Amino acid sequence: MKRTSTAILALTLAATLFAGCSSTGGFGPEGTQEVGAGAAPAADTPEAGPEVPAQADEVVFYCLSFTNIPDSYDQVNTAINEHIAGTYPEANVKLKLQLFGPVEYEEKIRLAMQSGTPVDLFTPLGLANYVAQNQVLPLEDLLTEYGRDVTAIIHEDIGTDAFKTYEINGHTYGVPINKGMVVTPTLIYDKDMLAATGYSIDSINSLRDLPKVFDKIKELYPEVFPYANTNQGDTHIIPILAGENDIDVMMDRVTYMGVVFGDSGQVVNLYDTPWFAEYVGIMRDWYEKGYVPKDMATSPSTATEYFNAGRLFSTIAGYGGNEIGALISASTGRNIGNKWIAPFYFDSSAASLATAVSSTSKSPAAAMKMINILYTDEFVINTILYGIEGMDYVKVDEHHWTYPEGKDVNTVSYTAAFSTGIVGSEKLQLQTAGVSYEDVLLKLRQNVECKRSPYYGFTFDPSKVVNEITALNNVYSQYIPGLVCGSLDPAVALPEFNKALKDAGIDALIAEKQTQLNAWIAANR
Amino acid sequence: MPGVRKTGLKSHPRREHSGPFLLIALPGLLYLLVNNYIPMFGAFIAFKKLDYVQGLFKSPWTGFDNFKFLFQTKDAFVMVRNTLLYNLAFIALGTVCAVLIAVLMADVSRMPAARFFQAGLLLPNLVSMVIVSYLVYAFLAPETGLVNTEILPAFSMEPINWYSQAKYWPFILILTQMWKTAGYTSIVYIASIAGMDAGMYESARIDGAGKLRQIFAITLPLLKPTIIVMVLMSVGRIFASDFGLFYQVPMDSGALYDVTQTIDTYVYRGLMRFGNVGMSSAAGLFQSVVGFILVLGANSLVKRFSAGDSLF
Amino acid sequence: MANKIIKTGSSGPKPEVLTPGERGFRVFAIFALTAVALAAFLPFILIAVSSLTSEQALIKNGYSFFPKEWSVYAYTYMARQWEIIARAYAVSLGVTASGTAVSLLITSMLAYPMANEKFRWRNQLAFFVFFTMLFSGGVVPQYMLYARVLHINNTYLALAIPNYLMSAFNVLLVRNYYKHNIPPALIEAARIDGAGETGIYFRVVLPMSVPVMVTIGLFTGLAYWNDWVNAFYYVDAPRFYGIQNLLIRMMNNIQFLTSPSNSAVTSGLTLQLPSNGIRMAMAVIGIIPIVLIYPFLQKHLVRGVIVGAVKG
Repeated sequence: MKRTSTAILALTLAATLFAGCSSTGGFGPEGTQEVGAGAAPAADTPEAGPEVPAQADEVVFYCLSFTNIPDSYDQVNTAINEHIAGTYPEANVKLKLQLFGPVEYEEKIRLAMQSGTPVDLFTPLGLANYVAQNQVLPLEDLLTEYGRDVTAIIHEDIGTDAFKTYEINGHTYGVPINKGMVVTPTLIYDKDMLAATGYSIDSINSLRDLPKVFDKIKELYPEVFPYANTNQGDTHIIPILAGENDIDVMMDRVTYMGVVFGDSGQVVNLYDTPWFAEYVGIMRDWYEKGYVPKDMATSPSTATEYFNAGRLFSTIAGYGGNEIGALISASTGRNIGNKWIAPFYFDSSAASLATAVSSTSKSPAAAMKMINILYTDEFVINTILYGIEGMDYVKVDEHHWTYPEGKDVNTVSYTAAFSTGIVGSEKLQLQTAGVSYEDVLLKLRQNVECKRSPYYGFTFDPSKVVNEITALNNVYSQYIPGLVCGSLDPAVALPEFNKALKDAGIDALIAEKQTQLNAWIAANR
Repeated sequence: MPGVRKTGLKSHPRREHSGPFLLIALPGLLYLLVNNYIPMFGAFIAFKKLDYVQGLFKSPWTGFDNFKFLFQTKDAFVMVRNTLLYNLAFIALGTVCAVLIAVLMADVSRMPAARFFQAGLLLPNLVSMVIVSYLVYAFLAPETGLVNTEILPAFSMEPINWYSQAKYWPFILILTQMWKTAGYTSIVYIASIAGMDAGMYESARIDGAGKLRQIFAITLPLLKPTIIVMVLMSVGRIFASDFGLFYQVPMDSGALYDVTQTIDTYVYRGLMRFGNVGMSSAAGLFQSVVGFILVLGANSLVKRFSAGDSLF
Repeated sequence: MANKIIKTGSSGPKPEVLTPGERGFRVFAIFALTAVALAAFLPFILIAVSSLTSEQALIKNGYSFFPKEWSVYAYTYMARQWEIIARAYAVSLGVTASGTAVSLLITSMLAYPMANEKFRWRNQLAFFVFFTMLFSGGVVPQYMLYARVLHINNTYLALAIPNYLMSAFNVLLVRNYYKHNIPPALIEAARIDGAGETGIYFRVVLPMSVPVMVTIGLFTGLAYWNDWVNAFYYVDAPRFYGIQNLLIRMMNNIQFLTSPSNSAVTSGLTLQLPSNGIRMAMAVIGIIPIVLIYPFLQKHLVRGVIVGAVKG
């Protein structure tokens, strides 16, 4: 009985992470650009690979994959190791790749580490918890010694401050996945329906501009919902609020407990502010006027499904780049457009997943050498993702790949094609045929150009307020979906919610965040 | 083992048979030892702050710190109340339904239709709670559910937004649980009735006892030991709950927490972003200890009033 | 007592003659059981129909017994992976059959001494068994034992041995059955004839426990069939995946592929995946083999549990 619920825990945890992903960058293929940092040698498939030295340090990489786990990946491991032996003989390392599905990934890491099974590299989902339980190693010294190439490529693509957000108690614990991190709140809408209403997309610049269009939509298409969620129970109003008001969410992009407005330096309760009350009021209005499905707070049906069924005019979600409308159009055959509806505010929580070194690693130096290769070698990255060229994938052109004739994601013998946001540097990854190159460049530019919070680099260690956070998480999931989807009346529920937050200890959490922030400001002035 | 048998033969008459009995029991005992008892030592994680470098055994002790989050807020009352009340309802209603079904099944057992009925008893247990949650949703979805689109209009009643009305959910959850488990549990009682001596019913009939009288005078008293064992076993798990039933079936709807929050869902919602092994072990240990105390109490009660039927 | 059982056992089935009261009860029984069976069957028909409904119709009109638009897309999608599905079926069937067989044997072997008055430690043994229902050490110590000490991970043994080979619940059920349904006189008679305890167990007790064996065989078999947890912890290679484990993985991947803001969207072909329909199709795929095997099983079930045993 207990085991099942733990397993479900892991499973749903993975699901929440996906939900989280849409607002923190997604796993999308986002960078196609010839390597700038000159670190990666040209990667031609070696004909007959050189011998892999037997005494090379083996680095076990637990890699998250969202496709069927292949029966065997010996061929992939062999191809990669022959390449590494030939190209970096001085490194004297070899890779042992192991793929795991989202259901089991974190549990497998925990079990391996607790039982002494070798594991060196993995992608922690929530770095702070791994640090708190001493599961990952500090990397700053290793990076200086063995990670110069990877440091250079990340400084260039994310910014020279990129490593700061993986710093806890003065140590760097992760190497960020190199990809676009900005996810702008984006309105996604049916262009044909909008045209029928007679309004122009130029007249829509914020949430407040939408109701007039919605009224017209309801009149023209009684079967269609003007608005529905992209993620279950989340209308995306909090990220919009954060973007419009320069709110630093202090590392909590899930429950947004304890945030800082602008450069005030004061941690406050977002849910007790007039801005939150106003947006919740707008959503209540949408709900009462029937702009949204009545069961939006709990319904498992999301915008994608409604779009496919032709029952939806619009949704808002966070996306990198500016071509999501075109991509959805291409796959649904309908005429979908997109428009940024609020800015994105680049704070520490924007940081993407990172690659980390296990604290049980026998050879951290070898692990870091392998990270250096993983982020800079085109051949290694693309072989991990797509398998053996010619057998598992074919190149369309310099930047794009596709499945071999007659094969697809379920029938090739090896693929981890959806792990593009997990493996190393997206700059060097081949892109799925059809993805625009311009958009990939845009996403990388956004990383550097986006408005940054003055507290960018602050990280929060929750270990002193764990009890409060467990209680607050429960209060959050009790009230927030109903409030942001409009099914709860804010006049009654908002005071109730804030009372419950107080009872659950939000003040203690805010005080702890304030203390840590003050210390951080003092140290970084 | 043979040694025990020889020496024990005369000098210790009461131990005479222990050897062979233990031999028969041995494979099962070994399995329980390996599968359950040896891993049980892991329960001490509940009192540790886990540190992966130091490992399970050397991590620092934290006393009862890992338990604190369970009692932090007034949610503690709600979740304990819900867990207890639902389990009591499940035990009481579940037993009544299962015994009733078993009695009815015994009566129709020789009819061809018995096969059809029997298949029906097992089917609901074949689907996972996730699928059950979609079935419930198929009926109760506010916009598209069968109840709101077909059934309520037929009685000219207004549609109900089921997933935001807490008052209906105690009934919905109990009904769902009965649907899924009553038939399955009844199989235990059917087997017990099947093992009963048919001659007793014959004599009762000859004495002119009606069907109901046969049930109350013969079947139920004979089922009593089985019922007691089944209830005692449920009491041991009275602080646990089926996560799927209380989390997935109500679609994690916040408006329903008052009547759907149980210890397991609370722990899940609180810890899902932590992966804190210590705290989740603490919750499990707490549930087990309370269940254990309750079952010891219940067992000694049974011992006092009906000695032969106690569990141990 | 013993004689009586043997006598009724040898008399063949007699035609039933019912009094009016009994006839009334029979009618009630049929009526009530039909209702129970329908409540069990209808949702399954809904699952099957939903798996054949077009995704558009599911979103537009919800689940319905009479969909506006049919579609076999969910099944053609699954059919593309028929090889791994067939392999997973084979794994599940093999593990279920072998696991259940061993489980029946060791469970009843452990239960018999516990039911025997002659065995002085029977209550201690029952407690030893019951205790495992309450406390568990959690996943990690068990994993360490099986994977690091016994080294059965990444073998078929890892699917069959952990957790399901014996359940305390089943042991106690069987003990209870033995205690109340096997006449001590019969055992005494065998003992006088010179049989040892093992002999008594195999020649007298085991043949008499058909009803309860069928019952716990059913429980154990279903537990194995529905298990996905062992594969989740103990194996890495897909060739060890059973059907439930495979389906859960597929479901999870689809959930990811259809969640909008990830690479799947940009890869252009996955948005139209009928996730609701596939979910239902997977439920059907998970149940179908049981539905197919059930009629064969039921012959034994009906004979074992109901008809056979009532007649002795």
